[in-house]
Amino acid sequence: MYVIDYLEGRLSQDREQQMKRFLRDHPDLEQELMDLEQTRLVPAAEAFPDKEGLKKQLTLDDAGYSHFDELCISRLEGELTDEQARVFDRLVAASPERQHAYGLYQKTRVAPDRAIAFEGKEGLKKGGASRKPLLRALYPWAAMAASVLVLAGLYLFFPSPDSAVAPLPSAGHMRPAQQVSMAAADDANQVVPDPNIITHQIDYNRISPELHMEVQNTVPPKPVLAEEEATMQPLEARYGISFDAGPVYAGIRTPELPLEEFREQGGTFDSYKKLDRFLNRRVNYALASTLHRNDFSLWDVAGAGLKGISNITGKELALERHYNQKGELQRLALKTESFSFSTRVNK
Amino acid sequence: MTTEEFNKCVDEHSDNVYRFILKNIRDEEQARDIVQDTFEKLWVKAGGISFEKARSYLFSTAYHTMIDAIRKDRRTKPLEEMDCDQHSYHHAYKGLSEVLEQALKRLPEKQRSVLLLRDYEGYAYDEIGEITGLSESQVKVYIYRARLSVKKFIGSLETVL
Repeated sequence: MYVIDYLEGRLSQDREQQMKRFLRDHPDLEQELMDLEQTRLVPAAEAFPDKEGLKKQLTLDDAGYSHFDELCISRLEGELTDEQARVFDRLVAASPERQHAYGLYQKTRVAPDRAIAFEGKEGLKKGGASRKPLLRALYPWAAMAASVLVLAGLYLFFPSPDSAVAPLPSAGHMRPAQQVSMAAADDANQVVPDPNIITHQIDYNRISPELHMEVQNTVPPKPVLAEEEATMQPLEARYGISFDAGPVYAGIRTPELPLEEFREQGGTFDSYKKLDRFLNRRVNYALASTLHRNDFSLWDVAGAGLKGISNITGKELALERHYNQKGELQRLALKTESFSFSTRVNK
Repeated sequence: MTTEEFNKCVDEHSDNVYRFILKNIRDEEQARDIVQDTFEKLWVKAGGISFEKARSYLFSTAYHTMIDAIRKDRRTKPLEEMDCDQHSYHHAYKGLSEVLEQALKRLPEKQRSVLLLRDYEGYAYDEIGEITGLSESQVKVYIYRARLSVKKFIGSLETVL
């Protein structure tokens, strides 16, 4: 895909530069690409010499019967100029046969039958002076107020990482089918001290087919996508993986790539961690979407409130939730286009 | 659009939309349902549609709802229930309006719709294009064909008139 986009000049400037760098590092591929470019067909320069001569003009000079229908309809549709209309009318007046034909066309105008009226008109009307528009107008403000309250609540209930918090209702209502296998590491931001060891936050090999499907169907909100793009693009260019393929590429194949192999390809430990974090997030989104399909929690209210703010301000906001392998909420993160804020939720 | 404006739309356009749909599908109940649905859709989107654009929105929504309904009917109705008199010329017509009615019935859906929008509502080609999703030149061609067919039909019954 990249190669085709590159050849057709459809890559962004950044990506094109990345592609050029990549090709510089892989001269064999560059040669192959040049061969590929030679297969492109270039349209011949020849053009039909007498294009204008082919064109036809509807004229009144010869209102022969082949054009007469067209002229009648044009006259009826008001498409003739005043001068053309005068000539046409003269031609018609001169021939009883044409008068008759044009008379028939004049009869083709259909007039509305005013006797037909819609009876349920009163039923369609909306009662009360601007009741619904008022509610509609208040909705964003109500949503904003709700979200401010929820965010204030978050701040009060989760002031520090060490404060104890009651378990959330969604965790208790998890259906068995929704339970997925995830690795034991509960803390998403756990620091890995040894640069030679990475502890996957999710055991990708043990993800159920249902969740895998969910990962493919769940798209995170825009600010998260933007952040992903910023972190993943350099990796894509370097390792030839496609961000555009989204969850499929997130497809959980990449983390199966062992760290050693990743390094052999020139990858760094940090980039490997980024990749892992990206996939962890995608799985979390899918998990959150599955868990809350039938439940309605405080977080859904907060999410709705943020949506309200997004609608008013035009800025995308998102509330991210991170779960552990038991489906329990571990962290909350508020993401915006310009900043993000995250807090740990203790059990 | 305010509630007042919405209600004004009901007063000003519901008859026209109803006539347009009824002349197309000739089923009063279904036409009423389509008008009802159309205005409900307008109400849902009232916040984003100005009063000036409402008429075009109503015709466009009603037209597409009608097309969906026609397609659905075609799938569900047995062949014998569909327009038995479609090919019958043996009928005593009382006047030109009835002949035109018959001529309209015989037109293909698209030709009929564009002709009604043109003659009933006086829409320009480009406006009809917006409502029906056709290009301006397609609209022109359909109107041309429709008038030609209607003229032929009237011509064939001239002795009766």
